[in-house]
Amino acid sequence: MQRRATTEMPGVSERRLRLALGLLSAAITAHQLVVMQVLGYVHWHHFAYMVVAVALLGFGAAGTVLTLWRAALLPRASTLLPWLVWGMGAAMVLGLSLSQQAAVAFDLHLLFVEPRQWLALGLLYSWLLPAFFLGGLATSLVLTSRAREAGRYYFANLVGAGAGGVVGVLAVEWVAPERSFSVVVVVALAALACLLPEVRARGRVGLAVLGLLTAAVAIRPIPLRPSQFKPIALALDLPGAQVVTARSSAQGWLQVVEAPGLRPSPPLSLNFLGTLPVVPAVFINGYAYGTLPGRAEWADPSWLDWTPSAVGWAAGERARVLLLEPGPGGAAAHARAKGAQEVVVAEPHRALVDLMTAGRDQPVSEWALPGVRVERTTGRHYLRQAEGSFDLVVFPSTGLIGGAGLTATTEQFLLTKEAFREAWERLAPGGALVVSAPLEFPVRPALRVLATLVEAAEEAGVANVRSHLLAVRSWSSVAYLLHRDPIDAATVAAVRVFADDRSFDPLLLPDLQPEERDAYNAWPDPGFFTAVDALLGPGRVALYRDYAFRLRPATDGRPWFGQFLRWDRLGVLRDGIEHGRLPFLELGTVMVALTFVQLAVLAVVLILLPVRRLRGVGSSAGSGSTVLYFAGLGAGFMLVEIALMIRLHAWLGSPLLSAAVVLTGLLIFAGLGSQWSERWVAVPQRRVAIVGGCILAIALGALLVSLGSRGTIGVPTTLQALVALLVMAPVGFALGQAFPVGLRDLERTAPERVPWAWAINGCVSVATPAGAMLLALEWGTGALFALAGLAYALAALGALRDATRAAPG
Amino acid sequence: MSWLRGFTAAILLPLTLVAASDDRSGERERMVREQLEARDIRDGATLRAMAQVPRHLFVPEPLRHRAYEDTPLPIGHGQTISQPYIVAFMTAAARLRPQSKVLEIGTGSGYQAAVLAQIAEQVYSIEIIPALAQRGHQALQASGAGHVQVRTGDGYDGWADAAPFDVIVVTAAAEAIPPPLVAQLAEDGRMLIPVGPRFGAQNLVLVTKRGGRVRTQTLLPVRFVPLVRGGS
Repeated sequence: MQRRATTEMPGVSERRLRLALGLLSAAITAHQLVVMQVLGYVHWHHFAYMVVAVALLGFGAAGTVLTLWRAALLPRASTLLPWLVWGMGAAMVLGLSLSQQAAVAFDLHLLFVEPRQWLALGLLYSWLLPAFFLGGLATSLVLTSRAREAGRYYFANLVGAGAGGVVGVLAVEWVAPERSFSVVVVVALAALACLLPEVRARGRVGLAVLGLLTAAVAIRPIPLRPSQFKPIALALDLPGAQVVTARSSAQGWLQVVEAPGLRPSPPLSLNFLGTLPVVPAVFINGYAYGTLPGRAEWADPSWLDWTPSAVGWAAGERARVLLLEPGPGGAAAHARAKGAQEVVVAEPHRALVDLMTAGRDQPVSEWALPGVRVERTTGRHYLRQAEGSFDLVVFPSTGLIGGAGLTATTEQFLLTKEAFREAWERLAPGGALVVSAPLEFPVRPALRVLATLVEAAEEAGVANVRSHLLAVRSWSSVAYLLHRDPIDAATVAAVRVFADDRSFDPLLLPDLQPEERDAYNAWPDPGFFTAVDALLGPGRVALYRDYAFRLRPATDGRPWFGQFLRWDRLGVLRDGIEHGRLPFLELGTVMVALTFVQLAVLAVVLILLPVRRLRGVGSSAGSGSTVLYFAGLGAGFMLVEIALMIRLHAWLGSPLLSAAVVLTGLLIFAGLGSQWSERWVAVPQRRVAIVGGCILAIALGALLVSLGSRGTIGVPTTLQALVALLVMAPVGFALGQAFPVGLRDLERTAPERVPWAWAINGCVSVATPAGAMLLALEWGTGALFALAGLAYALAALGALRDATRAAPG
Repeated sequence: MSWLRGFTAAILLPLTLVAASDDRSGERERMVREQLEARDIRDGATLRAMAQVPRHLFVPEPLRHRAYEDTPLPIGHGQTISQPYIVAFMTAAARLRPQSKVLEIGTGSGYQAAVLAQIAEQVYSIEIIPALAQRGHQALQASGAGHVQVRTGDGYDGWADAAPFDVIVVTAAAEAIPPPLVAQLAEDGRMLIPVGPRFGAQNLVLVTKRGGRVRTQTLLPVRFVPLVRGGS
């Protein structure tokens, strides 16, 4: 093995150092995914943007510390490094354990009720931050010590981080959240093991003992403490409740709970006089996802006949039925009981499908019944590759898959205009699709579903949507039925009987009389009926413009069905909503905005903190260019990363697969680009050219994602993922070159600023994920790609200024 | 949009507030004046009941100093004691008479039952979490509402032995209205239930039964607290 000592890290071999750097980078990325999994279970959201931001904040803080104490830290780099790596592993275990302690546990639901929850939120950041700070300090020590060979080390850093994405996905796929962090800690300790031979004897023993102790602690599960308000916590609080099955998967932790008080809770007609059976309930990541009716209920899940969405069965033969992500609960058995000969269930949750389809000879659930076929894929994915046509396509209730509030920032590709179009094209003659939505007040999801259906039908060539669309309303929800053919008189009569039997009110029928609309269920806001009519008439655009919440249909480019908040209408909302109550309506969006503000302030502080110290060392000329260049790269890279994650979610049908492909692909190809950049002379002119190439690559990447997703419809997901991985190549390769070349140029001209450049890059990246989410919610992913290009243009400007200053004369 | 419209100014009703024997009656009077009357709660019986029941006895000890604030407070087990306005709103919407027979589903802290028991003589309350049922029962006795009958059990089944009920008040949010409760509602009876996902926006729904036919009326959105101004 070739040992290559440097003045900054004497005695540390390059190969060992690069391997350790790769492993610690892998641990950091995987830890982020594991933390997202834990937060997703404990709270109501995985807070991906917050986790990424906290990680980058740790990196930014590390860069700032290194800038401030460079003289003290760099000469001791080889001694410090193994301790930092061990500290990172220990902080991973300790941080997660502390976050689950009752006394300091953060509860999102109480954030706007209990002031102390703000402190708990701050504490949550502080529990998670040390691991990323220590990992970031170790990384920046290596990269600063070896700045002259930044490309090779940056390569190890990025390839390791990319591989960490795969490790993280495997950990959350196969290991329960209370144990998945163990996998990450093992990777972190492997990084420590790489460095141990380089440590002096006494320190080596101490570190080995500490490493073993950390491993011993990490083997034990951390009992997770879901919020007391989360459905799983409430279910487990019932007398006699117990978890009878638990399975891990990348789509979430599945738990089945049995308790005497658990029953299905569909939006039943009040005329239903039967009994709802006591059944086990299924929870995914602590959310109620449905129930498991027993054998007796499969034969006759009659209660489902008394819900608004049963309107799909009110008229016409439905021989072939498609249920999109229905969850368990009897829908498939109900379809069979209503005479469907073939029922296709499209369900992406692997653990749930395994649970429901076991024992073909002796069915364990309705999904294993004869005539029922389960496709393990997302509803959207299935719509694109399905063969044949269907008499009825049933979408899940927006209440089941996330309405407003906390789930506002969860992408939902099954409720976009494109999804409804694809379902429309799968309808057989006489077929219909049914979508139901809860009637929240102020009305939002129910109107947005209608707007989406109307626009999708119009784009499919329907001139008069009213003649194809009918709807019924209960005390709590609306079900829409969009027919492929114009609705005939027999169907109208059948739907009237259906509604009257159940004390539902017709909301849309071709010959509807105004007084029919609230005969049984009085609704306090007549503006709702006006809005419904406006969406089907010429007043639609004015309604979009004037309504206090966002009603324009969600699209694949802006797939946030649950995001209704309009920043331009805040004044109107303030007048109409009780003081301080807005977060209760739109908590998801408000949380993103709050996270953005908090992290942006921290980022600015951490960037400015070293400025005074830097003034005392060397010239301040070019500081502005340094900020422009490295801030532009940090923001641009994160914008591209977030945009790609969202676009690949639609393409591959899984948020976690998307995150894994983007993290792995982008980082590995960026690593290769970084390695390739070693051949460039690090001068400002070259940086301008490289950054220009980045802008072109971003445009190419956006185009390739569109072409790739369209060109691979119907092919297996694995092949799609491979194509998506290749699409990452030009973007990652180009983007990976700009940072190391910039570092090398800075090392040449102003070496004291190298850690600061790290800090700037990290700190700007901190605020970017939350900011990118806000931008995407407002303008879609296209805007993210455009802004990424703009950020790189700013970086080019920084390099151009350096070039001008460096020019002779 | 109509839900955004302003609401008429509160009409102050003459009240004979019965001074309680504790030292927090002043806070209750202020609560009634500033949180209830100012938000258009006009039912005299409800206002008197709210002024009489010592709310702080139903709040966990560490939070008692906040008992009369305009907010719900956590009581453990994922439950809250509702904001005073919500308790008053539901009580007023129930249109209680002294001879009404009332069923409450979800005893929780016991506060809503205590307010109901100030007006109606027969109040039954069911709580599924044993610890809450016990604590709620103790608080009811301490507050002088010991005649409220509390049972630990599944609220889904209602209280068949004592049915039918003139009024049913469901205090915990439900995603569905249990059929047995509809069956146990008397002719001309009124049921109040917050409906919707536990932590989504919920609607407070009034269910009435007349001539055997059930009708609903959505009253106002709630989520711990009312979300939209006014709403009565």
